[in-house]
Amino acid sequence: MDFNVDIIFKIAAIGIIVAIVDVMLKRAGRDELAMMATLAGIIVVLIVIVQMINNFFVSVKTLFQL
Amino acid sequence: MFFMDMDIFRIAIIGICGVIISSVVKGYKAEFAIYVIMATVMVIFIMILYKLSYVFEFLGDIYNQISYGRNFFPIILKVLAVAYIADFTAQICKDAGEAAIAGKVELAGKVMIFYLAMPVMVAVLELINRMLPG
Repeated sequence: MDFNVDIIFKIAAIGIIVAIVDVMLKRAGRDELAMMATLAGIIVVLIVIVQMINNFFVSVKTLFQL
Repeated sequence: MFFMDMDIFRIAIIGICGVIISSVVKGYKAEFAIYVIMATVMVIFIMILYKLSYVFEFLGDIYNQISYGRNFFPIILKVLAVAYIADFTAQICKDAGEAAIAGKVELAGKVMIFYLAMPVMVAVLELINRMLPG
């Protein structure tokens, strides 16, 4: 049950790290790299969230016996 | 499953942490705030699902003893599931600022509940018809 709570913190940590990397890359003048890094971070978190949603809907289905 | 009765404290704290983390992340990258909100909502919902399974077992036992209830209990469960999921998705859409998508998801939920409830209405009308003389 506490595994689920860690996910929230991990997603927030990934978000803040991506933001920091983005700012640093923009300061170094590499704007395209910054955009790609941001996009990569968003896609990674998206994949994690989609897996969570999948688990969640499967458990709802088994609970309600749909 | 220890400490199952007072899980409301855990759920409250998770909710508050989710709000705080979401506002922190929103300052850096607004896209991640939605992910944090979705994760928080799903965590809380999964915690509630454990409790709900006991409630549904209990209700199922009660309804199995009524001759009319045996056909209609799965419909009640389906309607509940549609209502929960539609509400969950619509709230997340509203939090992301997409009120149009939220409205359509809610409308879809209402239409599906109506569609699922039609057999129950037909059965009630037949019952009334049988009870009326002539």
